[in-house]
Amino acid sequence: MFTRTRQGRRTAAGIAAAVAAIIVLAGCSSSAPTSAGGSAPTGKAVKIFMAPKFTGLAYFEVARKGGEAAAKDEGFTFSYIGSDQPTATDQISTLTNAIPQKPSALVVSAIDGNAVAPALKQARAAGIKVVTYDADSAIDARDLFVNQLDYTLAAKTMLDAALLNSPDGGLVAFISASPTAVNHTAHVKIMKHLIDTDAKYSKFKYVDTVQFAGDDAQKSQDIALNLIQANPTLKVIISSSAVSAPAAEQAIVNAGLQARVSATGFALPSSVKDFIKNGDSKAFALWDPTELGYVATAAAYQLATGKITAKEGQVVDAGKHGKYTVGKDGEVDYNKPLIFTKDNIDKYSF
Amino acid sequence: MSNPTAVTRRRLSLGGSTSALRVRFLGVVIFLAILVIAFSLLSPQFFTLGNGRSVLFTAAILAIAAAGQSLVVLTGNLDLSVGSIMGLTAYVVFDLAGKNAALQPFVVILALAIGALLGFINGVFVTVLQIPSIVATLGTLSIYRGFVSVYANAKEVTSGTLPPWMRALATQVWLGLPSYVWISAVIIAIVAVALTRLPWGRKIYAYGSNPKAARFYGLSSTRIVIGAYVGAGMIAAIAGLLLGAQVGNINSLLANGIELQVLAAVVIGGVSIWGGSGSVIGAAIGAVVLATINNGLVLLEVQEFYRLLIQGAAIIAAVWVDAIVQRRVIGSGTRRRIMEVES
Repeated sequence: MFTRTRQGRRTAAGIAAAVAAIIVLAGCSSSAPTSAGGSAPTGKAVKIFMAPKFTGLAYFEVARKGGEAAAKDEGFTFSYIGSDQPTATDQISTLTNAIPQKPSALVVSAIDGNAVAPALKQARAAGIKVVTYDADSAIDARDLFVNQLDYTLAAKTMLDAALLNSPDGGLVAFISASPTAVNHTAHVKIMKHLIDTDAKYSKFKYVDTVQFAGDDAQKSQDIALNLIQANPTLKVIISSSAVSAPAAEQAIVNAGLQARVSATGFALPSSVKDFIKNGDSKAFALWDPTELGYVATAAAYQLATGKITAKEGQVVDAGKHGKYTVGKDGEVDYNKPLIFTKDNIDKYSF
Repeated sequence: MSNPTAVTRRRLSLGGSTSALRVRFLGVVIFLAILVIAFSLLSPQFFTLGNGRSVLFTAAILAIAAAGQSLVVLTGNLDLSVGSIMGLTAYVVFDLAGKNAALQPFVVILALAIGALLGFINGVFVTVLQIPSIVATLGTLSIYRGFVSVYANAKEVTSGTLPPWMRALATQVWLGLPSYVWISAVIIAIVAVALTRLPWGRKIYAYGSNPKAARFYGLSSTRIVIGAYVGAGMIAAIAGLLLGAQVGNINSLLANGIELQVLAAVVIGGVSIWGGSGSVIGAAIGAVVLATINNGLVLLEVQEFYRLLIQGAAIIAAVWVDAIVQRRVIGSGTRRRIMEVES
């Protein structure tokens, strides 16, 4: 902790005066409670930045509310940073620019797990704690990963939703964001494995080639239509992307094919309410992004204040939102899947 | 062969309508035919009625946007802000119409007004402020997208709030083809006629093929270029509106990055990036080429990494095929025409 502050000052000396002044100011504010209490900073001196994959997506906005709620409960400073462009390059520059502002911790949804790893490592080298949520980075680039659903549970949840859509099974196809989206890739791999090995899902067959739509609605629709053309017996399109899953269902509805094929996967209930109420799709799945944002931000706060050190077996205490144990490789599983159907979708406001 | 063409070209040098234009997109037609034959041989699903419909549907919006882009490219400029205009228009119009049901019948007029305004701003930057179009529209690409990001505040316009008639339109099938294909065809036909028959369009060709000469003959470059941008903006706005209704859940990123596909369609379609030559019909076929490639590669289960390679190669191949066709068919004619204009 002390070394971190001194290092920061040494760096600051080399930079332009204006920037240096800001950093020294930040350094002062964070060192005040340190000298007083003799331990890590708490309360307002803790500054946590949340960086979604990109801004402008409703899903991340909902998670942001959780982060803000955690900041209010614990009394720390919270900022939401990011670019509105869904590219790794933009996220890297967001993260790189965040480092000189000396946040205590970053809460990041990695758009490309490997591409942003060097920036995150740089942040950690500067003494900033790094928590990933929603989408993980390379393991050694962060302290903790708050996983909404462990990958197997995520895969099972989506396949369960697919079974609700197509109880007799049949051919499924996958749309992911990109080949470098760590969680999407893992979900698909496990879904394929489950279909191959688990009796519950053995009614399914799958199209081996995964399609990538980069969280773009139009591209998702074009791909959905092309998949239906390519596979006349296709029953379900599954996507981990909260953009692609509803967009694919919309494409199916537009083409009047909802009796033959349906889409499912992860989606905000607000974006699939119409489909589910009209019976176009029987089920979509997700988790509560607000609570996920809360847990991830609370975990970041506890890291920053030294309450936990990301060691296996430690417990992240998210107050009324529960306690979560740190697992292998610094993974914290939130693990509360939600499946939205006609009967419950009105309960959810996000 | 070259002599009669040259004569025709000379006679119609200002309007540039008939035979010269027909060969202008012969290249892309031949390239499309090659693609169709190749995919038909490789995939049994490709050459079916349903798949053809699907390809045309996925090409429809791109073709409309490409028609708008052609107007600007014909003047020797670019409009990189096309995707941002589409996204901004779709979000703002559907957001307003969702909050105020009285606006629902007027979404098209609203969209055209917004598109005209955004196009006008582009045109003013390029002409009055003399900023090179690639720079000016690179700027407005960000500005327009930034505006919609701020306006949307990370919210979505959800499908339930769209005007029901727009939603219905997206799903309708007329005479065996999706409504969007017909709408696209009508818009392209209107633009094609306006370009070749109206003075507004003829001036765009004249200015694009030789801005200096056009000015010498008293044509106002400012008015022509702004006119092209306004037209392109309005067409992009309609494309955005249709895309919004098709996608259903609209966020501030709608049509983000589509400008490169639109430009690719225009270039594949044989519209000269230097201005003055090419046709909207070619650009529309260029859009069909891109949609065909996307469709064929999914049908063949090509991995993502190869797909990017193939798409890029296809763009270059299409332009190359076009160049060969141009040289064979109107080769000497074009050269002679250029010499005439320059002398």
